[in-house]
Amino acid sequence: MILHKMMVENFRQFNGKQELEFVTPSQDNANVTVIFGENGRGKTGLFRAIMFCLFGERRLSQDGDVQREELQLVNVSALEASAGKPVRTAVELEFSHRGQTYRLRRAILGMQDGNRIIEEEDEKRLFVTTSTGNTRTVSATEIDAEIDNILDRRVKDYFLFDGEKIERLTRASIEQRREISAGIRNLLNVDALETAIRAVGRVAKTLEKELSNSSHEELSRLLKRLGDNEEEQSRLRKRLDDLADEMRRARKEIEDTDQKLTSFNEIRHLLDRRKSLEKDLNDLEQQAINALNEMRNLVCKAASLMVAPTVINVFEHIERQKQKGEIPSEIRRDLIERILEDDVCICGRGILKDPEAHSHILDWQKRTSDVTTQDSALNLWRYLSEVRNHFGDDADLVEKRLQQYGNFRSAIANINRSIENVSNQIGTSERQDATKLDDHRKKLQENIIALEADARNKQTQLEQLQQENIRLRALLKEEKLKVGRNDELSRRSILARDTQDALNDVYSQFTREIKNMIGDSATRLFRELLDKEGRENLRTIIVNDDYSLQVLDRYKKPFLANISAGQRQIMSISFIAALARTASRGDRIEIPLFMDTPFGRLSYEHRQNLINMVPTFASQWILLATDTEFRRQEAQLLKNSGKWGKFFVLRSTTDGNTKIVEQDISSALAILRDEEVYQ
Amino acid sequence: MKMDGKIRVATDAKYKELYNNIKNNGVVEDFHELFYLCVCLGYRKGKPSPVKRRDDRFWSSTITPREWACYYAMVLEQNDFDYKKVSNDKEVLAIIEDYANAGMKILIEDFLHDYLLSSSRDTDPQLDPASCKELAKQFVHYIFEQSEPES
Repeated sequence: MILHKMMVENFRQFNGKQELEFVTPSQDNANVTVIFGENGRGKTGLFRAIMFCLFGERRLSQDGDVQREELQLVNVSALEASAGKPVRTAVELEFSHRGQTYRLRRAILGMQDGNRIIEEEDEKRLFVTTSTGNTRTVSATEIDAEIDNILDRRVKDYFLFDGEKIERLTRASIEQRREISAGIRNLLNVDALETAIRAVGRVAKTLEKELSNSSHEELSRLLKRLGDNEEEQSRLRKRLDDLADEMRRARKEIEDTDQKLTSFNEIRHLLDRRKSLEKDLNDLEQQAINALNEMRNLVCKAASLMVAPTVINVFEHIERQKQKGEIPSEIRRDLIERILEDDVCICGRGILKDPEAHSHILDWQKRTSDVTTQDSALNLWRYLSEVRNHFGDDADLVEKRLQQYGNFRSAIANINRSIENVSNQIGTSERQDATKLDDHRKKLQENIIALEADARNKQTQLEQLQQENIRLRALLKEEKLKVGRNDELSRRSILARDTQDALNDVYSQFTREIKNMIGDSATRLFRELLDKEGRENLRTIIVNDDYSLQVLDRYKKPFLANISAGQRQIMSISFIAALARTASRGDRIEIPLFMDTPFGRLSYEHRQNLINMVPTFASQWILLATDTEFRRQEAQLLKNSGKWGKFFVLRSTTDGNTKIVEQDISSALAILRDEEVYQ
Repeated sequence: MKMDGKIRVATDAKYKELYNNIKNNGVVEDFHELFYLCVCLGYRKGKPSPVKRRDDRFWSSTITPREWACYYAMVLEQNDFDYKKVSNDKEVLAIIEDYANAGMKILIEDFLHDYLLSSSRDTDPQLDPASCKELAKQFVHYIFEQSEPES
C-alpha cells in the first residue's frame, strides 16, 4: 500500500479543506515525507485521519481510556462559524495497492447541541481504478471488507510508532508483556482455532458440571477445586488488567500535571531537571530489575562454590588414580577373575601351586575395578574438571554482578535524594498552585509504586494457581479414567478436555513460531540499527515465554540488564518494526510507516542508523517530528541519504487551528534548530 | 554413576510451599536448582538430616550433569572413595536428599527466617510476599558469603 494524497476537511485542528501529497517510492528513489510541528499541532491527528478514512476508527491504541465523546473529530472553529448548521468533516485518501489505485472518502456531520457536539456518519465512497484504467465503484457495504483485504484492521496500529509505545516496550512491566502478547495474538490470525478452543472448553465445562452432580465423591471434590481455581485465576487476571489500566491512567495524569506545571515559568528549569532525573531513575530501576531477574542464573554457580573443596579433593583423587594407572586400570579385571576361576595363568601354569603368584594376583584383583566403574570414574573426572575450571570465573561473575546491583541501588538512592531536593525547591516556591499540583503529582507517584507492588503479588499468586491447575487437571484425569470405565459421561468429558488440550497445543505451536519469527526479524533490524559497539556485543532479541523481551550477548547470555537507554530504545523500535514487517507478510514493510518522535534518547550514531536504515526496509516512511527531536543535524543526515522527498510544516494560525504548509527541503535546514550535544 | 533420569527426588513435605514460593519469586527457575543449593549448603555446613515425611518434588531427569558430578563427589568423599557407594543412583540421591534437608534447615535458620510469614515458621514455612522484592539478590549474596573459606 502506497499513500499518494490525503485531503482533510474540518478535521480536528484542520479548518477548511487542506491537502497533503506524500512522496511515493517511484519519485527519484525518495520515500520519506517529514511532517514537522510542535506538540498539539496535529501530527498524530493526520495518522488518526488516515485510520478514520480507512476503517472509520476514531480511536488509536494510544488513546487508552479517553472517552469516545472526548475524541471529537469535527473542527471547533468550523462549528462555531456554522451558526448551528451541520458541519461536514471529511477525509479523502488516494493510495495504490498491487497495481490498482484507490480513492476513498469518509465523512461525518457534526452539529452543536447545547454543550454537546453530535457527530453522525454521513458518507463513505470508494473508487478503484485498475491498471488498465477501468474504474469501479465499491458498494458501501463492501468497502470495509475491501479495505481489510489490503490492511487488516487488527494490525493497523503497528504502523504508528509513537514515543509512548516505544517507551512502554522498554520497561520490563506488565504493560510491556501485555503489549507484546496482544501484538503477537493479532498477528496469529487464527480466529477459527480460538473459537474452536472456546467452544470445546464450554462443552468440557458443561460435561464437568454434570459430572460434579454425580455420586463420585472424589470427582466432585476435584471438579469443585478446579472450578474455584479457575474462578480465582479469572478474578486475578481481571484485577491485573485493571491494575495495568490504573497505572497507565496515573502515568498519563502525571504527564498532564507536568504540562500544567510548565506554565509556572520560574520553576520550569526545576521541573525539567526533575523530569530528566526521573528518566534516569526509571532507566536505573529498569536495569536493577533486569539485574535482579538475572540473579537466578547465578544461584547454582554460587552454590557450587560452597562445595569447591570437595570437588577439588575428589578430582585430585581420581587424577592420582589415573596417574597410578588404576583408572583406567592397566590390568583387566575380567582377565584376573578368569585366571582365579580357572586356576590357570596365561602361561599355562596352575597358580595355586605358586603361593607368591597367587598372592600377587589377589592383590591385583583388589586394585582393579570393573570396566563400567572405570568409565564412570573417568566421566566423573571430566565433569569435575569442568566444574573446577569454572570456579574462578564463577566467583568473579557473582562478585561482579552483586557489585553491579549494589551500584544500581546506590545510584538510585542518590537520584532519589536529588529528586527530593529538587521537589523541595519546587515546593517552597511562592506559588501555592504549583505546590498543590506538585503534591498531587507526588501522590500519583506513590500510587503507582503501590499499584506495581500489588501487580507483582497478584502475578505471583496467578502463577501459583496455574501450577495448581495443572496438578488438579492431572488428578482429575486420573479420577475420570477410574470412573470412566463404566461411565459414558466421564469418557465424553475426558475426550472434550483432550481435544481442548490438543487444540491448545496447536495454538501454542503457532504462537511459538510467530514469536521466533518476530524475534529473528527484530534481531536483524536491531543489528542493523545498533552502533558499532552495540553490534559487537549484542546478538539476539528473544521473546520470552512470559512475553517479556530479552537481549542475548555474544556468549548467548541474557544481557538486558546492562544495555543503555538508547540501546533499549533501539530494541523497542526493532521489535515494533518486526511486528510491522510480519504484518506486511514480507521482508519489507509494505504499509506506510508513521514514526512519531522516535529519536528520544538515541545517540548520534543510532539516529544516523535509524535515518539511513528505515527508508530501506519501509516502502514509505512518514516521519512526524517536533523541533526538540528533529534538528538541523537529523535533517542534514536525512537530506544526505537522498531519500527525503517532501517537507510539511504544521503552522499554528491565529484562531488556534493548524495549517499544512509545504516547504522545500533546503528551507528546512534554515528553520530547524541546531544542537551540538547529544546525550 | 549413570545419571539416571527416572528417579523421583523428594524433600520433606513441610517444605513443599517453600519450594514453590522460592521458585515463584524468581530465585531459581526450577526445583532441582534450589535442591542443589540446599545440598551444597547442607554438605558444607552440616550433617545429613533424614527426611521425615518424604514428598516427591521433581524428576531426576532435570538434574544437570554438573550437579550429578557434585553429588557423586560428595558421596565418594564421605565414603573413602568407595565407588560401590555411587554405583546406584537411587541410593546416591537418597543420601543427597538428607543433605538437602539439612541445607534447607540451615537456610531457614540462617537466612530465610526474616522472609517467612510468622504464622508459618514452625509448621510449613512460607515466604511473606511483602518482603521478597530483592530475594534473588539476597539469596546469591548469602550463598556467596557461605562459600568464603572457613577460618
